[in-house]
Amino acid sequence: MIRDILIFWAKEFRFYFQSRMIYLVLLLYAAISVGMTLYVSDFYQNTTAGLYQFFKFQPGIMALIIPALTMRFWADEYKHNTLEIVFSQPVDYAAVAIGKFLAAWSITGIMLISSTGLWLVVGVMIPLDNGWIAANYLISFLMSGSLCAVSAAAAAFCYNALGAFLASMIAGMLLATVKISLWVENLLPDNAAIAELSKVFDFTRQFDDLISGQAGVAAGVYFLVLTAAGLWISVAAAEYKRS
Amino acid sequence: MTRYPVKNIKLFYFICGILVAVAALVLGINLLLGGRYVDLTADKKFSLSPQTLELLQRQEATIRLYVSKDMGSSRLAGYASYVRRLLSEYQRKSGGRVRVNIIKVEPFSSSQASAEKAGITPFYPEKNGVPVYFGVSVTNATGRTLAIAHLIPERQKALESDMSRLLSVSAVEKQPRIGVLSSYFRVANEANVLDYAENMPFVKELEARGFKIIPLSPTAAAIPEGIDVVLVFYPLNLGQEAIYALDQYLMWGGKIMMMLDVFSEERFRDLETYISYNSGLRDFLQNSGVSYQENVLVGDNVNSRSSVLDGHYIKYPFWLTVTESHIAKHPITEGIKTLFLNYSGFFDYLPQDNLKMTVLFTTGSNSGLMKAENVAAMDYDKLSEEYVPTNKEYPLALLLEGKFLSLFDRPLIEDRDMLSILPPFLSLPIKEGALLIVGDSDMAAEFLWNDDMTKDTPAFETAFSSDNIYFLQNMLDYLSQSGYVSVPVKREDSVDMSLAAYFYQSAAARYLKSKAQIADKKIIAAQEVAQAGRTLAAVSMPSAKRLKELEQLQRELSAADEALRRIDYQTKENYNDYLSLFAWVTIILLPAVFILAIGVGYRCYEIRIKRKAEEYVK
Repeated sequence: MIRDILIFWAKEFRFYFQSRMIYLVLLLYAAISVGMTLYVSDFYQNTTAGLYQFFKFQPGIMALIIPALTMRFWADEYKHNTLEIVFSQPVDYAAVAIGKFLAAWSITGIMLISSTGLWLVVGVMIPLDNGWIAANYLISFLMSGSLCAVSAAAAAFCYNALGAFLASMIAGMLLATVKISLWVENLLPDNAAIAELSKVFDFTRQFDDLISGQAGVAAGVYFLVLTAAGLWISVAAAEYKRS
Repeated sequence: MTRYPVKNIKLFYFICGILVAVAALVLGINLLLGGRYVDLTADKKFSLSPQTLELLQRQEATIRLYVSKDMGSSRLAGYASYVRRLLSEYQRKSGGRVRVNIIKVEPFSSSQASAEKAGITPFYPEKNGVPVYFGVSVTNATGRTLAIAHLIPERQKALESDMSRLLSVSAVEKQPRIGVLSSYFRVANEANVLDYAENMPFVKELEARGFKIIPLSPTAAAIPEGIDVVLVFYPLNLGQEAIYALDQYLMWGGKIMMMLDVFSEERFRDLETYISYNSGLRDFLQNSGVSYQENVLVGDNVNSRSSVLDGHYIKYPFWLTVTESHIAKHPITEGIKTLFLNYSGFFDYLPQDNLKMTVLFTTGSNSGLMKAENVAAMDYDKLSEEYVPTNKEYPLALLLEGKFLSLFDRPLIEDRDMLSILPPFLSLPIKEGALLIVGDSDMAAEFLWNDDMTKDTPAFETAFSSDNIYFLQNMLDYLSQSGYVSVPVKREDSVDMSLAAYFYQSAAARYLKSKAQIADKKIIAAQEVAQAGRTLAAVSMPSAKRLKELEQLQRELSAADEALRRIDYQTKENYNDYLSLFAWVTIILLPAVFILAIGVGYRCYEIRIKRKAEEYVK
């Protein structure tokens, strides 16, 4: 199983670099995330040691970019009828899905590395908390894994790339930008129990909880659970459609 | 047979099942691990110190955090989030003994009234804007409430220290009584309270930190009963009665803290002239083996603070900075990282069998000595010529503990009626006492610990520049055995300088010297213009030559103004250029270089694979 996963991961990972679009996506990501840090937040005036202003935009930006990586997961297979060939081999659905997911997740890792120039340059000028920043990069990577899995699940229901892109983006944006706990708090101001409950499921709040320097273990597990659930739905949806 | 039950049930139900399972799992994990956190920061800014954890095991209290719904600035909102997180640690680690209530304050509501009742004061980020409330109150089991009326982000690294102090102060009903004996402070007769000088609000800070301050008369021959520590602050020509009182206080096991000063900058500012110093304590100190030269200052041209002179930052040797490497490990100095002293004296010590001596902090090895009157009279150039390092470290603060010997062999006062109201004379000690001496009193002056220097700032609300106030607090805690919790201030919690400040400083650096020169010229020109104007006003018919001279001077003055404006403009331009360059490098250049490197790497990999394939075909 692990060998199959690695084979599919390598194949899919190479596939990304066969198109020049990936370089554009990487550049777009770096420009948007650093640009937003510099021009949308108060980064110049209030530089935090953990580069919080940079990381807080990551869920929104990732939700926008990741669908471009996951939209071809299954759509291309359906289009070229290669899925039957793949599954005629002695491989599991899960190995294919996990391999594809890992390839997209690796690309998000490269995306994150492409933005480390900000860390390097600012670190030369003023002292930063490098351990905290490195941890925040890992947390962002974990969060991007969850978004990859959710996007993969949404894409698995669609037959064409555009549909997969839109479905993934809507799912990702709903998850990563809508602050459920704030809505609940405003809609039910007197119901503290429900407000507390909503915080547990709030993606942005959980991410914020992790990158603020005091990382909640439960928040970390939340992203792992979300990733596993997204992957499971993605595998199940692909199998269901094939059947 | 498949592992996924999608063929048997509809996919919709299956996904719903997964979502419900995920929800249950997330809830369960939150119940199990909800209280577990990992502090990722280098300075452990979210972790509580052992002192606080120990306090939380025995303390019951309710902490109320009052926060406005709209904080008016992202910086304050960010700090509010930090405060909430740290306070939730208090609740969690206390096992429920300390309860934290977060009260969202809305303008013109009952929450606003309750905030004001608890002692939280509003501030207005915008003119005519809505009031913002951001403060904290601590109520102990008996209902006693203490509050920090206004939490400021500048004190973020001291938040735990302040909160734990407030908690422990709220629990103690009997405060340590500190008698202040000073020639600097006046005692207001009617209320018998200290009428302390404007620049000495450390007294107010100490009161907020749980000490009861009681003024003592320098002419009384005895220290009143019930005084836990006597603080002798900047003594001047102390009379025999005061020395006798201090001597006998030590014999009875009293604790004394002395802040002497060869050259008080505060006093120099007041009087605008240097007056030689005489504490009157020479014999008293020598009796315990300590000598303090009352006309010699100690400087250090490495461990000192800078001053701007002719556009350059120059280290001024008599503005001492004492850093951790020169601070001894002792309960008094725990958590103290930086101390500022201005024009300090030093101590020599001859060991005594009956006393244990601890040097609390010293100067660095680049120290040198100079006579105080010379330092007061010299300008910087002359001073730097005459200053010669002696490569010796000089003690700046000493702690003596043990059984002190009396300076007196019989009672000072022989009047029988007076003797009857004084404590019995002791020529030998009956208990161990303590004497803590510091060579500078300016270290308590506000300009050496309050970075903000906003007058009448309440205690716990100043942006501090050094640990001087914590050192004073620790000294009194140690001597009075107050039982209060003293939590060290955390290390730097955020970047010292913002990026904007860094760029602005870089942009301004190249004009610093010329700007200072022009500013000097402007001052001279302005003085000359004023002088010429006065001369002209004195005569009824000024000559044309005089008028021309005045015009010339005014032209020089406006030229200097113009030059300063040009420098400001150029600085701003440079600043904008730096910002653009920084943005261009971080947004485009560095990511592009990285992506190019990946592209080249992948291309090389492809070529290698292709060659391998060709070789295989061949």
